[in-house]
Amino acid sequence: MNARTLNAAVLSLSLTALGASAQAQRTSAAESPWSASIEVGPVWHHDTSHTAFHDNSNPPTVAGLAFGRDVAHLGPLLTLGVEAAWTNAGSTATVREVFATSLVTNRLHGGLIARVELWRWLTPYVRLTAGAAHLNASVEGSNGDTLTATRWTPQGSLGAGLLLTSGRWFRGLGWPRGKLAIGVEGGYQYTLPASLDASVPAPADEQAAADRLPAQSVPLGTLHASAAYLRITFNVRF
Amino acid sequence: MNLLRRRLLPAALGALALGLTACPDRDPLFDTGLDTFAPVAAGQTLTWVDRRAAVARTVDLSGPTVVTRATPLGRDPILAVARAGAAAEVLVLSRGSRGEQGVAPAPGTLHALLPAGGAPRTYTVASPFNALAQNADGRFAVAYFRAGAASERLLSNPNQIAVVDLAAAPSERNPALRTVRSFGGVPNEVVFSPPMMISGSARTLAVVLSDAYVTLLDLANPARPEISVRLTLPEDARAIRPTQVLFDGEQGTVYVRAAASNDVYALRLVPVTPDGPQANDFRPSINQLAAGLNPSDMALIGAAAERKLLVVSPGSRDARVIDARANTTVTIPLDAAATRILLFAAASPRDPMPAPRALLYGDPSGAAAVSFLELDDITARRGQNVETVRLPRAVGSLLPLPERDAVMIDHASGESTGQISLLDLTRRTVSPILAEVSLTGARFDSDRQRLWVAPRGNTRVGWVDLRTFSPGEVRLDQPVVGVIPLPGPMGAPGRVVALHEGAEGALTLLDAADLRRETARTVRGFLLENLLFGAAR
Repeated sequence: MNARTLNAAVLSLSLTALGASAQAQRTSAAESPWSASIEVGPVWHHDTSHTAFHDNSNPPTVAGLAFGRDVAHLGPLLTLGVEAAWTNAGSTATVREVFATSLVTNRLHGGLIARVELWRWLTPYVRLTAGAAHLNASVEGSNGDTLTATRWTPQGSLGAGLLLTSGRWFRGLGWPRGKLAIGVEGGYQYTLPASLDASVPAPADEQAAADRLPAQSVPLGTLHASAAYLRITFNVRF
Repeated sequence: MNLLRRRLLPAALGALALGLTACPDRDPLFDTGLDTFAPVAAGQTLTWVDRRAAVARTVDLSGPTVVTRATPLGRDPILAVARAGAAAEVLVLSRGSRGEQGVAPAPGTLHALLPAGGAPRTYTVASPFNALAQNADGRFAVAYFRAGAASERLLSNPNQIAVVDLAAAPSERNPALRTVRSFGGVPNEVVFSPPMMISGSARTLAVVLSDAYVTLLDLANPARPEISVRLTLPEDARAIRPTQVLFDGEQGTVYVRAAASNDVYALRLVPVTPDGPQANDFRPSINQLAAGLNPSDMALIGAAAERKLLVVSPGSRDARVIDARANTTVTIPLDAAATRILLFAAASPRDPMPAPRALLYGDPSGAAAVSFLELDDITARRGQNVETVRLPRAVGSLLPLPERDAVMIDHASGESTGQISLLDLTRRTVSPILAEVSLTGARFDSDRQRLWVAPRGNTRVGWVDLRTFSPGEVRLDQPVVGVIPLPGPMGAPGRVVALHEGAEGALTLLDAADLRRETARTVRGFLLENLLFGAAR
């Protein structure tokens, strides 16, 4: 992830925290209003354009980080939270028995989560997110030159899941707000189709880059990165 | 809450199921190997044929940016060539498919790709032909089976041909399929005549060359039967393989030279009264003429009324002037045996007036000499009309520069310098050109103002300005594997394409009017254009 992406993630997280601090309500859920989670899970793309970067039938796997805060309690059971998250997915393939392709997708998004605390330990929820995906595609040619194409494109997702939450296992350690949770979520993430124009990156050496002949990029086509997803999260609530 | 409990969980599980079932299969094209033919230049385009994908990728270099377009072809493309003449089209012959599981049978086709894009003309040649021949102006093409290639069909007729009129639209009668008469052989090659005067009208003939016989087809009258001419007696088992054909249009005579024969064959096309509308109005009269030992090249000399055949025979170290009508042969001994003939018209050190002359070269023994032959009055003066010029090294190959009254000689000596010489045909002097490269693969630009060389693996392309013979070169970013000069639009200066390594397609475009590195630009990956669309492109 480059510096610009990291900056965006930090800014998004800060906004989430600021918004959350304005909330003064306290319910049972608000006793552990913060959450930090890591997530993994497969995605299922439904367009063949993606198969240029993916060799076999096993779906690509996504990993990511998310931070959230409960911000409102809309009744005795319904809690509204916000989150900021970053996910990363990578896949590689061989195309036409010659070209080594790879696609790295970084997604940054903010989201709203509505949790229904039907039971103390099992919490169904729905999650709505919006953000942007950064696509980084590369094709290594037969003589070793690599063409790359990068593109930002808007994205959003809607999913529903279940959160299995522990009791206050850390009370004895002096951390009464600490809880662990495991979540499973299924949903669909829509990503605006992105046209990818590939070219050989300029050499890092400035003199070599200045000496290089002007190069025309090549349109690889349109990548449809929308996908259904399954998201397994490991949360710490506090 | 019960409602939520009933609806939320099924919704989540439904989304998950949707994802699991919606994952598509990988595009089969992505798992198919890449096998492209060498690029074909036509007008200001270069076309690569992706054989396994059955797609032609045409790179249009006429505009400020390089544009690539893909054209679907028939299954199993086997060859791609530029259409002869001025049409600037690319012809792609496809063998079709015999059908596989999930793949319907498809006939063989000939696609004519238009330089400006658009739907190509598709001629259904039906059979899986593997060779194509065209006449000089690109009006006719003949698809045929070249001997030795497997047909990959249960049954095939190797003497079947398809005659395509490229100037006409595809139809039920175009192409015309027919089977040529066979004496046990199969076609080796098909050549076309220029317009020949036969029975008072100009005809274009297709001549099918087979072992020990040739077959003549009158393309102006495709319904008429072909005429087969044996070059040997039926009991003669020699493998007489026709290798060179010359046409004397004015005298209506076809000359055939064959490997493993010391004779040349003159087929005089004699007018006859046809038996009916579908009968031929000429018949060939064959004359077998002795041509020395191992004749290796021949050329027509003299005006139409006194047309003769000049033949070089390295085995007997001589040249022969053959008058097929008078059935006479004049033998001219040579100091240096020759395998090739180059006709030219230029002055000589003793004659300031341009006159028809011949350069005989290619001594198979490796002797460093060529022979100049004065063709005027050759039959009377014989050896007195021969001048032998010694060279610094033996001739490897020769590049005629008729506009400059010169030839470039590639000595191909294997040394790093001094491989190329310039032979002045007028003064008969030899000037070495210091070169690090061979002339192999050298290409003239469209107006023959420059000769381009691109030694494989070198990052430079070089040229010789043929007006001044001054050399030049441009440094590029990547090693070069070939160079293709393209004509400019409406007579404007063209462009020069340097091709680089890389299955993804890589080229550098040079402006022929301003040959500097600063005006060059590169494109890499144009054969990957629309990669993500896969087979649906």
